[in-house]
Amino acid sequence: MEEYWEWLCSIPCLYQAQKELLLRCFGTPQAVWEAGEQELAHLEGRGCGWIQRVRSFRRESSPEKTVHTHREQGIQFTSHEHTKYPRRLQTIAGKPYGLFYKGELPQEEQKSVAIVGARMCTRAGKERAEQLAQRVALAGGQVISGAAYGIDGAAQWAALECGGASYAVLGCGVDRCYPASNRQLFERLEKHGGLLSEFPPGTPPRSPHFPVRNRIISGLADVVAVVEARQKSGSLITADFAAEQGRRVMAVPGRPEDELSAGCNILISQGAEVILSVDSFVKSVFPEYKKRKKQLSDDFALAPEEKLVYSSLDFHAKSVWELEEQTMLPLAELGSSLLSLELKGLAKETERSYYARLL
Amino acid sequence: MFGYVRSAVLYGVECRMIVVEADANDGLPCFAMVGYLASEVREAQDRVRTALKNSGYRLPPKKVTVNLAPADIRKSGSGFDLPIAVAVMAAHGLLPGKALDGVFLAGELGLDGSIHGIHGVLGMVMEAKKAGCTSCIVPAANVREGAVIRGIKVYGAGHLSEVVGHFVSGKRLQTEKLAIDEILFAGFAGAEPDFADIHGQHMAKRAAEIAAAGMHNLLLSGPPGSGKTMIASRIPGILPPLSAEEALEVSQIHSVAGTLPEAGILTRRPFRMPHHTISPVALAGGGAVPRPGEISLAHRGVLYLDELPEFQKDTVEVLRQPLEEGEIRISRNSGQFVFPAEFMLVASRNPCRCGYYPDRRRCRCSEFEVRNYLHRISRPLLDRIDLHVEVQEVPYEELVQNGQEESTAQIRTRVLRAQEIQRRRYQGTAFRFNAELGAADLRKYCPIGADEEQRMRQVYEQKHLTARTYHRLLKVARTIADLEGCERIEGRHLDEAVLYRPAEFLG
Repeated sequence: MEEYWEWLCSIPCLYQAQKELLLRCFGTPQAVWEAGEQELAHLEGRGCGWIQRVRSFRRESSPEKTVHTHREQGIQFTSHEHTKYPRRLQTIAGKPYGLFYKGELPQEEQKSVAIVGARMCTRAGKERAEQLAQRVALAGGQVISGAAYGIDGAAQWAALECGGASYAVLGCGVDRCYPASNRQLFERLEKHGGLLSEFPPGTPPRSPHFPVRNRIISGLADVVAVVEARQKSGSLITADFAAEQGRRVMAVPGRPEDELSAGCNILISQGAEVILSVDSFVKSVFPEYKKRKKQLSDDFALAPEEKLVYSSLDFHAKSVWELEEQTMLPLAELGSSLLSLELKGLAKETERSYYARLL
Repeated sequence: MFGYVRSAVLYGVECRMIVVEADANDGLPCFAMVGYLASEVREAQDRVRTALKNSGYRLPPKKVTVNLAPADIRKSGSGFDLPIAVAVMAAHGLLPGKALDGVFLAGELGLDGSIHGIHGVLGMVMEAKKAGCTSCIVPAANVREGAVIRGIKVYGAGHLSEVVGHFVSGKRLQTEKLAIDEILFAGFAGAEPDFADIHGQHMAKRAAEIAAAGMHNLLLSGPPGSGKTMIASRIPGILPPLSAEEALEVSQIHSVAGTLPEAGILTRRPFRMPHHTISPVALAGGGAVPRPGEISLAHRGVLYLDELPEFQKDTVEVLRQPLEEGEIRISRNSGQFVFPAEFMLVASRNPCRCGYYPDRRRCRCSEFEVRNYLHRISRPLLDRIDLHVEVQEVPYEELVQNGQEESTAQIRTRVLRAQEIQRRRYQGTAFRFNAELGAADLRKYCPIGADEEQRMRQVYEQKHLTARTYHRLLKVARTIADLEGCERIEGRHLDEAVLYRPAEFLG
């Protein structure tokens, strides 16, 4: 049965509603494959021009061939009838009939947090997203997002950087890399997490795909955190889906005049939870997680200067010269300590000459 | 009768010797000039005739022919007035032809016979000496330029009658002799902007010191008003003082461009700061007869490009060849001109349009805007800049505190020592400074131990360095080790170099 599902889901430009109609008419994907040409032609004649695509795909490609080409490309598939299919998605409205993926599917037993936000984000927003993602990853959660520019990509990078897993739901085929400048991110995601899409491989990124895939992002998550969103933003669509699907929606508040946070503020006014601080966020999402801060310096054998520098670092990034003033260390030594801390995974250079602590 | 004198034409920064011949013959009175002349040279005949008349010399009506030889070099410039006037007087028998043997003349005439200054006198005197002339008569305004050359007498003349007097009545012109070392010393001792004036900015100052020690190019980025230009303008001061030879070389270029100071020659390393609207030709040099551009004027000094992203793309692209080869070649149908252009490039930029990135408290630029702004600088150019450093905005407390800041002289001592170490290490090779090392030479000159290599491998992955960045980081570490007088590159040198590593493009 799987191969027929995979075949059905691989038909290019066949959307959810159309698949639904086909299944209503024929019952199973296998029946669609085996249906008589006349039956399909009949449907096509009744105002369903898109059947044309089913017919031509049927001529080009058989279920076996479809499966074979995808496996050769390293692309996996699961239909909603298979046990691998994410349980979280089973309950959502308009769940995709199947998912193509590279890498892994999200872990069922791990808490998953979707961190979404604007592509055109501010530096501050990006940093907030990074902090949230880091803490989620350190607390053993997985980060779900859309691998876009801005908040999405930043959050996923941050999760990967501190050894967490992250999953991206794409608006194109999983063999496509969009946006192209995130190629490195895509490569890392494939190794430490996964790339998921309901669209068949080879599907180009089209604007209508993105709002649709947002239901999967929210569906895969237990909590949806919106970091920065304009009043008209795809992130709000994600949040709406999340609310419908019964997920927790949280948002980072912004100043009233700040356009880039307008969407977040609207969400809050509609009843989303407020993210007051990174700590409170982690506490409420992972109530069982204890901060390991105290024992850290014992865990990693830190030199005295490193300890000093570490204690001066903060979760929000500080510049080298700020640290220089605080620690009174010579520049060269300070740089050395910062580098050591970074290599031990305790600090991160968020921007050139700006350092933040990780743990 | 026939008379001739020697003069020279500027050809790039070099000079070509020219013989100015004049003949006065019976025939219809006229004044003919031949010899592939540019229009400013052709105009000389009116200036010469009038100047001679106003100086009190009456020429009998004769057919005068003036030839500037060799005829295949185009003669341009305003320095031919004086030699033409003297040659014409000799042709009329007003001056003894013998006395003009081995005399080099150059200068522009005013209608009243006064002699105005010209460009390129230093190079002309050097060329005249090479060609075996024994004395030079140059405009009084330029005499100090020529006077630094030993082994040839240099006279300055302010009026045509003084020149005639020099040859006829024994009222010799004043000769000037300048000792180059003394000028250099005197010039160097004078006041100049000092690093001690800059408070704080330890990181940027240290980067400047490293850059100067290894002759690395440097990129300063920081918010407006953070003192990027202040730092850059002090870098020539921490470079080693000009040697006599270098001073002449640099002065020759500036002599051609007419930017020499009063003292006659340049005593300090040049610091050139062209405005960002400069054209490619003004930067590289050019013109029908090419003249040196800003990069050649910065030869052996510092070329400072303030607000690098604001420069036009094709203007900045011009820098690529000279940065690589230390000279710029300009081809014209009259031949190829080579201008020296060995400079240290110091550039500055704002980190974003508003200038405050990555200070999250103030910068509200979106990631796109920041990226677009930074992408304006071409990658190949950035690849030639070894050190990148962030300049902080100095807080008010630091600005007013009267702390002891290191002076230029103190820093220069260390730079000198580091350069001496490099000189010894690269003896007998094509290199002079660490910055010149290629990727292939790093293994030989910048070896690092196994422990350090292990750590660097981690850094490489953690910071997503590229191979190119890593190589430049090694070179900088080499310079830091040299500053400390260390034979081997130690871990701490590498760690410090990481602070100044070239910025990658933001992902």
